[in-house]
Amino acid sequence: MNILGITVKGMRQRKFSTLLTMASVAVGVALVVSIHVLKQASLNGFALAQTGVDLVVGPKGDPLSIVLQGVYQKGEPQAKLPMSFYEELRKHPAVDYVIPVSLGDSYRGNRVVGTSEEIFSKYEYIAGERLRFAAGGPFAGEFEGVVGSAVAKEQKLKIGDSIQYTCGLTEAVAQEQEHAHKLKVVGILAPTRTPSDRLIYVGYQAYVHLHQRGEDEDADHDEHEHATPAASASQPVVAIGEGKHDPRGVSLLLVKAKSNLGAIQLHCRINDGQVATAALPSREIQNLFAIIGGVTLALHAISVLVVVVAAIGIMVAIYNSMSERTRAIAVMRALGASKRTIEDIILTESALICVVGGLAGLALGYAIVFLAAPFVARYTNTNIVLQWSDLVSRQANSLQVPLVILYALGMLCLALLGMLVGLLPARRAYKVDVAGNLTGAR
Amino acid sequence: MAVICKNLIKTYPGPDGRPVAILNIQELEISEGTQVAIVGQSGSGKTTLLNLIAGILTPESGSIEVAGTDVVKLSEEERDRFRAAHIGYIFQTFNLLDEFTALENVMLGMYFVGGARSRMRAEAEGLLEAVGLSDRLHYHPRQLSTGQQQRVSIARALAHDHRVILADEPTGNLDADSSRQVLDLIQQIISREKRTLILVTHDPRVMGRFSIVRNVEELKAN
Repeated sequence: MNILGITVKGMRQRKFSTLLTMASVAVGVALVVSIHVLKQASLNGFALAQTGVDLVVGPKGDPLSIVLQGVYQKGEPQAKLPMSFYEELRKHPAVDYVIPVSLGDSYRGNRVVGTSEEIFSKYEYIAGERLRFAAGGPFAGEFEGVVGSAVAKEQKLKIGDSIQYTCGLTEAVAQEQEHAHKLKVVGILAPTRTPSDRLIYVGYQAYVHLHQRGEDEDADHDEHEHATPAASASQPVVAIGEGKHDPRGVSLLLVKAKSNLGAIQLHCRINDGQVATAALPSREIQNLFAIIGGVTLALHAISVLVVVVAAIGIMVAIYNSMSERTRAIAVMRALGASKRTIEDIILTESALICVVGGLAGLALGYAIVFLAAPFVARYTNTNIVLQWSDLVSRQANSLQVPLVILYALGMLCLALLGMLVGLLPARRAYKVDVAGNLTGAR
Repeated sequence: MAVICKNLIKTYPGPDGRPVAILNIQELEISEGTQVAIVGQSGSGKTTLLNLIAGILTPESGSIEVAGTDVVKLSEEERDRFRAAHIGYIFQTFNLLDEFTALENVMLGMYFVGGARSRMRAEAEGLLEAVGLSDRLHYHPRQLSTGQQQRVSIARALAHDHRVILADEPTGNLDADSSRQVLDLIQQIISREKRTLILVTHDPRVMGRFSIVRNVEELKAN
């Protein structure tokens, strides 16, 4: 028998109200945790994807857009790089390899990427990790495609299947722009937990030929700007100053340099020119998260407010419960419990409600992210990567403290918060009329 | 002497806010090891007297000496500790806590005094056995009859070797048979262990079992 045991028995006596109060704390904590974990899991997804290349090169423009298109498959290319640029860059002495990327087609919302076989033989989506095949092998023929693991799973594709892919990156546009030819699935990739899982790879030369053929067959298609959903065959768009659309160009180039210094030199050389922009993926993503950092900060602030509101709810709930407990308090006082002992019981109860609610909220937060991750990944085309190592890693947050330590400190703060909000009910307990409640007069 | 009260005055606010004397005792002495019945009409201050002796209430004036200590001069916290250590209280409405078992209700009073848990448990089991409830240790009050609940209350009051036992109409909520059994039990244990019993009652049958009877109204100062 101790203060904790006495407190727990009292809480069990008022099971329903205790559980409700704990639930309110759990919801607030779950909100805080799920925001943080989802943000970190998204960061993990971004971090995993950007490690394969040193530079992403696109037509002159915003480097962040180029990185988002080239590495994360976000956004829509507005122009192309001439093939001559690609050919020249490949021969540069600082370059290890260059992988062309052509964008503009899709299959049921998944992008079809025209590229070279080096995407399989050389590209490292994570340092030391190349794209591996779960079935089949790389494309060789003109209308052969290799599908990412998530595409194969969701569309139930297997080797030998034919898929009708379409011009346009959104399904709304694509429905009117089906290609005459179908792609034959010759390879299915193993999961990578990067945007590659949601892509379909075809040879870029076949990609170019297809669109060149399409020009001959359909004059309207020639002027169609693939990436613009608003454009359609009835409203041809021609980039200003670019003349006729050059189907032989590529949307982007993924560049691996032979050394870090080489990467920096290439970065400067390309950006000094008039044709292309070279972007450093890590730098651009840092800039991006700096921009959205304010938003996540606001979300964190709101979720902390929810926890505070829940704590006030605890105070109100315990304060109101005092009227049910006056007899019990009077009996304990009559048995020799001091006011300090009664106060300790109430503060312990308040702290326990916060801590148990907090632990439940922690579990609930992770459960929410775990259950929501596939849906978020599917509808935002972003990989959500939950890494349990983040719990013990110092690198998983800006404070450089393992998450388990932060969570333990969080529970301690909740306990202190609980004791703080328990002070007012404890004060009410002081005023219990012992004599009156013993005789049942009150 | 177990209890000595002198010039004791306790007032409560009247309807007009002015203090009304509910208890006014010139002198009351109760010897150690005796069993005394305190009687009087309703509202005469019998329960108030017990609460003053227990240190639950404080008088406006006077002294109350219990086992050699003037409880009026103690601070509230000191009175709480003194009550836990020296005074057992048996209530008319039992006042057991539903969230605790019979055993835990008896241990609760011991806990507020302090001491080893194993010793508390052994003593509580012994007390419940003494009141005939050795097979009801882990029952909650709602699972016990009214007579059994009062036995638990008696065991609780006898815990920690309390030398002064206060009983406020302990048979008020019991039928005749249960009343007789409970009173037999209380008086047997008190006599055997030579403790002091101060029992409040308005029941003549209960009154008749005591050789020493004091009427609160006759104790009033002139």
